[in-house]
Amino acid sequence: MPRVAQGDDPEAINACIERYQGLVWSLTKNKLRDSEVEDAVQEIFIDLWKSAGRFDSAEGSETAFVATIARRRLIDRLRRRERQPTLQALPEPEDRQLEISAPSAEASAEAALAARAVNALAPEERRVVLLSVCHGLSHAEIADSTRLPLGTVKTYVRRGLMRVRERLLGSRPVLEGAL
Amino acid sequence: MRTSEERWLDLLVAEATQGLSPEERAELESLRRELPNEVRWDLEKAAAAIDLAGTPQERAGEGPPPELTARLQEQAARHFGFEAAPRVLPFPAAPRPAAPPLASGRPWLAVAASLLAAVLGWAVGRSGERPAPLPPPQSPLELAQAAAAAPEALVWTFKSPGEGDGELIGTVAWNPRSQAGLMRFRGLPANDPSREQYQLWIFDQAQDERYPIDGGVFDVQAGATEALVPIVAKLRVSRPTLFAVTVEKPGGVVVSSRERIAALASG
Repeated sequence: MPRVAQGDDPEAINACIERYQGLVWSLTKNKLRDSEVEDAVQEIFIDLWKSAGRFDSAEGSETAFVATIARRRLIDRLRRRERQPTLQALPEPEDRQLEISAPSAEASAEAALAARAVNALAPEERRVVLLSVCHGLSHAEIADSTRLPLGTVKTYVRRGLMRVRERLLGSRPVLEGAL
Repeated sequence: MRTSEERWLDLLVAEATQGLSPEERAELESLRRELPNEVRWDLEKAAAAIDLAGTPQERAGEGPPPELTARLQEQAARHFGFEAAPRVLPFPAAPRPAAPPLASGRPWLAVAASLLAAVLGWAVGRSGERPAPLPPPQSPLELAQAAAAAPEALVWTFKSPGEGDGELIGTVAWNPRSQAGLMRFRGLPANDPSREQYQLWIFDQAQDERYPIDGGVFDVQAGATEALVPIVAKLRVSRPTLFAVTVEKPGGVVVSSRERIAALASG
């Protein structure tokens, strides 16, 4: 990513495309309509080129950095258009273990930590977190589709993120009683 | 103040998962000044980690289409302000070693080899001359030339699709092992890239002929006597049966109407 940020290394830039286009494609397909995916992927890579200089390996893996950039753009797109559920088949509410699909050892560690944290949640909470994070549904949409109170949905999502954050940091949460 | 801390956390979670309205963003910015900012980034990273873990890997045939890769590369070239790897390089007008007639054997191979020999001869150095460094052998053209020169490369001749279509002469060399190749044209009209571009299609015996493999777009510059076009297939070509060059809108198309066919080459 530092080589990409320099902006004068076509090999590094093309290698970045080769390495991450599949990941960005998958993250996008999970959240948007098929007709939007290609445009969104191109937008994400533009964001990536603009943000490459901010990558800090001390903060996390390159793959996680790319995923974060992708998510920002995807969330922005979802907000800008009229929200309609773009779900694939909903996972069964009883149980769905996360599958680790990270392509690199670094990302595998982060994804593995996240998977363990989310798998430790109650099935209903886990489902809400997956619908929010992986499928891009808004909290209101999740409340509608699961018939849970909106406040419950927000609590589940917050709890899921904070648990994963704890795992990643290996530290106590910033706010006492936040969970 | 617990209330503002709770609200702040709610807003951070919303930002990391569903985004914020302008009002919410303004509220978050006002709270941010009072509360630790690193949690914001941490929650984004947590969401990204969950997304990575929960996103299924690409299954066969479900990854990005090959033409998207080309667009991303071209987009990156525009963004960073460097020329994308040139798809067409006209032969220099300067004298060069004589080439055998195009109609016989593998004329492109002889010309390419002559060119390479000239470069090497110059680089190795004659007496009294300081040898200059060899150009890095990684350019798409050089890679394509190497692939096309290999013994296993297929070599076919391009023809115009209709009679009286001018004096198009061309060849395509395709290396099935390296999945790279080289096209060479003489007489292919120059195009205005802002209006139209040439696009290569590779028909593969293993693919439905309605959906040939996209070999990318290229241009022919005005004044070029000959044109060399490297081919790098984004999708594996198993057994090519036909190479077709069509004229399409700038940037190419996903599916060609095949209304304007510039050249065809088959075995």
